[in-house]
Amino acid sequence: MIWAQRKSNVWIYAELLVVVSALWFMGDKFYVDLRTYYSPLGYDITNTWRFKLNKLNSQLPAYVPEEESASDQATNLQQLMSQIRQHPLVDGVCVCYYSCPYSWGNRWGDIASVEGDTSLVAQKVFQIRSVSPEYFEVFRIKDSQGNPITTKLLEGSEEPILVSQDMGEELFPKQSAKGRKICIHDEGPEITILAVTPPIRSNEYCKSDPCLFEIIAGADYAELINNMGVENAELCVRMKKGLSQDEMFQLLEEMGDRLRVSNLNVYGVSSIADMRKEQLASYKEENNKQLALMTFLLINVFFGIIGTFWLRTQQRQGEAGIRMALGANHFTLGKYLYGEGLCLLLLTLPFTLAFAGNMIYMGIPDADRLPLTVGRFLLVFGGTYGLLAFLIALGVWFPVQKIFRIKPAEALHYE
Amino acid sequence: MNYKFFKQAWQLMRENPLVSIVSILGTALSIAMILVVVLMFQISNSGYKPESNRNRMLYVLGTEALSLNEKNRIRNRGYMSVEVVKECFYSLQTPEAVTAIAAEQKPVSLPTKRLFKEYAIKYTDPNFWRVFDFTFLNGKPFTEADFQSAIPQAVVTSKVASALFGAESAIGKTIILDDIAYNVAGIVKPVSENAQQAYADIWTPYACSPALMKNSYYDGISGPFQTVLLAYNSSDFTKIKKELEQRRVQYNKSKRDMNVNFLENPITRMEITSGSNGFRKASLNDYFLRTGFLLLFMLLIPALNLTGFILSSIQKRQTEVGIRKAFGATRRAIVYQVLYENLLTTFIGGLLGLALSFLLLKLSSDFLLTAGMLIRPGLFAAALFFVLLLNLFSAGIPAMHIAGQRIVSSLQGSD
Repeated sequence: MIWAQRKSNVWIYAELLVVVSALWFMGDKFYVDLRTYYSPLGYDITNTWRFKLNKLNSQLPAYVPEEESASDQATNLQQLMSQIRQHPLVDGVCVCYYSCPYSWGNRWGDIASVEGDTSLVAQKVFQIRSVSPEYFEVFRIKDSQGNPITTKLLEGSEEPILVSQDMGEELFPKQSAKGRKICIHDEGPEITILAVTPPIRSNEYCKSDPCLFEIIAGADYAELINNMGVENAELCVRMKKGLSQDEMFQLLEEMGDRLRVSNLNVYGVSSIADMRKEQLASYKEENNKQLALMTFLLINVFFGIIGTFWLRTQQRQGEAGIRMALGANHFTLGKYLYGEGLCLLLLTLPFTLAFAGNMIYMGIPDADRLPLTVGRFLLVFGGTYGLLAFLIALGVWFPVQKIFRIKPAEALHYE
Repeated sequence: MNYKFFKQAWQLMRENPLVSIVSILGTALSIAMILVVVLMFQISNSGYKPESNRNRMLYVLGTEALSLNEKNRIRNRGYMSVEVVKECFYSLQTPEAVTAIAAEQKPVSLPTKRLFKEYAIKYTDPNFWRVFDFTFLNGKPFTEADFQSAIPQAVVTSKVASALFGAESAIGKTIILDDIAYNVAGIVKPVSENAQQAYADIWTPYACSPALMKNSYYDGISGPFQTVLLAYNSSDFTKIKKELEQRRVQYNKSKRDMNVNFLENPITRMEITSGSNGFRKASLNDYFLRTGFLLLFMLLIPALNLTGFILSSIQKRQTEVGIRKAFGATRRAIVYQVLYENLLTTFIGGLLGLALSFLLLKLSSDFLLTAGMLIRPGLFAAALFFVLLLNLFSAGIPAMHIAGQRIVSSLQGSD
């Protein structure tokens, strides 16, 4: 029957061929995005805000001349943090450098394991996050066993260093990194790893970057703050409840002078959720474009099937009439049309499989963020066919309804 | 003749309403998707207020400082300092105007009240108002004299004015930015973020910001500025590039440690549209190839549907065509007849598509859209072109097919 109707079938068949291939390809990228998006980030930014710091303009009356300001920058920062912490709505305050989520900031350094197989990671650079001990509480980062990483734990240790799970695996394959020794930069001192955190991803669309947490505390605290510049510190605050931007502005306005210590001043605030939105905007836009294109293809298939089968049933009303007159019931009649539509779809299989195989052979689908397993292929490929089968059935349904409404006698007129 | 075809086409459409609707919707969808691509291109490339003269603009969006010491090479990619702006750009003779711009996000306060809401700020020079054509609702831009004496004058959008001062006139009022009190000198109509170089909420002379004037590093080369050059005529571009190169070489002679270069800059608007930025030049050919392929894809998929439909319905009219041929109609006449008859469907679809494209763009974009960005002759020309192309793609094969059949077989009504 498909062969008999080849003239009108060839167009819809060609369309199916292109659409299945394109949908599989785009669907696969979409699936990888979706899986990556919903896998854990390693931290939680609910109700967190980034406070932006600057130094007071020297022309202002409130400016304290450098020589008169008795305390140093690091103490000022600590004082500012404790003033913010005193607000009843504040849950926690921390500072960090190049480590605030969704800030684009990052810093890298050479790190080598002292005990492990050094040949594996020789000359390797890892991301270094410099954070104050409260960082883990503010962003709800737990260790790989799921226990909270408390300030008490960190402050109790002399030189606390934490590594992410994926970094631990790179440095010490197949063993636990906890309690092992590493050194930062070429000839740095040996430091023991205090705890292992889950893998940390910089945003929902990336895979994790192995990283190391260097704690800003103790003896090195003042030195680090002075080196990095106090106004460059990322001051992150978790609030006890969700506030709108205007409510937050209101709160800061009320805090007034408590947002300033000597010349160190909080000049602005951004919700980290907004920073996230901004960072994800381009990914989202790309995905929306792709979704629009996929929808476009699906609608076209739907239209194509409706139109083609409608015209066909019209031309063959006579035949349908005879069949009905001879006792074929509605079910058998519909079966032919549905069968024909789905058969057309199945016939694309050899070509689309060849296309998919070719793409995979050339390494075009993204295997970096999600391994390209048989399961993933079957799911997306099968999903594509399932979706199209559904649309075809829906498209055939309209014309079939039409035939059923005709009485056999009327249908025979066409003959 | 055309009227006859039109009547005929109308009859045909009514004969098979479902297929006609599906064809029209399919065409509309395809034209809408294509026009969204055209609109995006148009918004990025063509001139509208306040960037009306985009075709005469050259952009320097990236700057590189490179150390002269070849052994231990330091390379910094960013923007340029005030010194480079003055030495290499303000001294140019060929362009009509040159402006330097530094963009930041900063909170703006009132003298009586500290506020935290952030605005987009552009620190610039008086030439900015010559390069870009803003609509002043009230007041005027800051002048060369203001700039030279660093008098803090600001231009704000009407949106900012009403957010800060409500219904009162903002002219002459004071706003606080970077702890400096600025006098509001002018109020302009808000501009779209798509006018990337001109867009801001507040514009001030950069001479008023000591921080920006001092912001230079890497031997005084790197800083916060980008420049836009307005040529008298786009044919001057080569001359301007040559003159800029001379200035650069001259300036570098005065440098001991590092030299400045502008990478691939200056770039044109078309280059920005095709994906170039200050640091990377994208291939124009690649862009056109990619976009062309996408457009073709969005035309061909619905064309496959339409071809199928038209072929099916035209079979029924074989006898009619046979008779026309028997009475002397040429092959050409038959082909035209089919193409003309089909035009009605494609035109209705095209019109719907045009409306739909505005709707899709409005839904998918969160930036300010103005009539000047959307309603342009190019858009309608593109719509007409793609409608005709789609018509040719979809009705072309059926027309050739039916016109090519032998009279006898046509009259017999067999395939």
